[in-house]
Amino acid sequence: MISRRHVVGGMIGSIIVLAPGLVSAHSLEDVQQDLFDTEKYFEIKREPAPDFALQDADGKSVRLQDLRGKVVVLHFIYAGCPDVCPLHADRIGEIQSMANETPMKDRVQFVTVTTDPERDVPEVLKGYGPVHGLNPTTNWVFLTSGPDKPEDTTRNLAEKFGHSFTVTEEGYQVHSVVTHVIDQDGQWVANFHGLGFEPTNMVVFINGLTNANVPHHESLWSRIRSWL
Amino acid sequence: MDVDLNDGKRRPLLPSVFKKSEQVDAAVRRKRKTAVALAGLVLVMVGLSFAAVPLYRLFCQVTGYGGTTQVAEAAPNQSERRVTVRFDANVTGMPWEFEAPKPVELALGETGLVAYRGRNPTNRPILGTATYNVVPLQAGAYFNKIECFCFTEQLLMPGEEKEFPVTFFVDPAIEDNPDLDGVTTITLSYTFFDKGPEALERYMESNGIAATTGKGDLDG
Repeated sequence: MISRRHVVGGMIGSIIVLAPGLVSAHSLEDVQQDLFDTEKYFEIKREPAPDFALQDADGKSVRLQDLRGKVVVLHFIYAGCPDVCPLHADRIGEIQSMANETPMKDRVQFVTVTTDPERDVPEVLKGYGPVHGLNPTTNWVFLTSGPDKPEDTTRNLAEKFGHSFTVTEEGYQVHSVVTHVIDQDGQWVANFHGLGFEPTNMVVFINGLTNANVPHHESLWSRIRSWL
Repeated sequence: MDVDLNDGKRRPLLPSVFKKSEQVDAAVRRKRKTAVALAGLVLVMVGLSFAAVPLYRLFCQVTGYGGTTQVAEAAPNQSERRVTVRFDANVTGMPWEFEAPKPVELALGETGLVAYRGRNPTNRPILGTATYNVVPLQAGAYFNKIECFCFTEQLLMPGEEKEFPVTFFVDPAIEDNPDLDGVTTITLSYTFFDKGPEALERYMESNGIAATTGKGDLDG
């Protein structure tokens, strides 16, 4: 027989089980509701982003965990892609330009990852960004797997972000168009699907994240103690 | 058929049947109680899952955890410490004239009301949306806006001028943060972006604004 004590225990247990959900809901706030209402290509995600250790055109190592403290806007393309990828890169370049007009500039990192490391050699990576309005001197980087890693490293990473690949007659690995947003704590918090979303909506979402997750030195416990 | 109640073998049958029946009833009642309790528990858990986000938001509002730039309903008690709040106005990729109000000095906890001014000097409607930032960054956790226009789509018709009010206060809890001991000035910065013609068309349609003042002027 279930006593009152059991019911109360069950409630406490369910609160504990729900706690991770409570924490992850914190950073999204009101801006999410606005995007739910107005942006049909916006999808909320709540899970740790798949980690990666890749390198840029100069061979410098870049890991996702090195980007903690910044909002990360991540997408996958390959330079040989004739149609959608250039438009996707143009769109990210447009968003980078808008964000960099504000104090968000220092709080967001744009990351492009090639899914064709064999063809996208460092010279290709270096030449790609400026053509599409992506500024490599500020907060954008084009990453590849590097010579020491298997050739399919970045495609495996893309699959962890939900992409699937089909091979064209020319031997290119084609994948879907999605822009991923990762918060300052490494949580994968949103996808913007396709190219139909309004660029300002992504800028607003980045702004919501940069304002919500302000760095602070106090621990949660010290906050609670001071409040009590 | 008659039942001989005087029969020694049969007589005890009736109390025995009654007893068994009572036992069955008691068992059924227990099962019902268990079912009701379990159903109640499920309802409570479902309710809690729906309440999770508002509960956590409440938690953040109460504790300020995570440095949430807060939207408050009322200002707390005032403090003797005063700060100057400066305002910054920017536009990106749009022709609006967007002016910031003059700086204000106020006590911690004191409510301030200012108004930005926006004007559309063109002959076409423009839909804008604003982002905001607080400098220094950490002060954002203590800068509470009771009313603001951030994140909301704003339409200015040709030649229209509009005020964008901001009601705010600086939480006296800022005094408890040693990192912000020397902060005497906080800057609130807004940047307006053009939402573009497609968003404008959608906005005007959904708000029942006449196309003659919208589409027809888009080339102007």
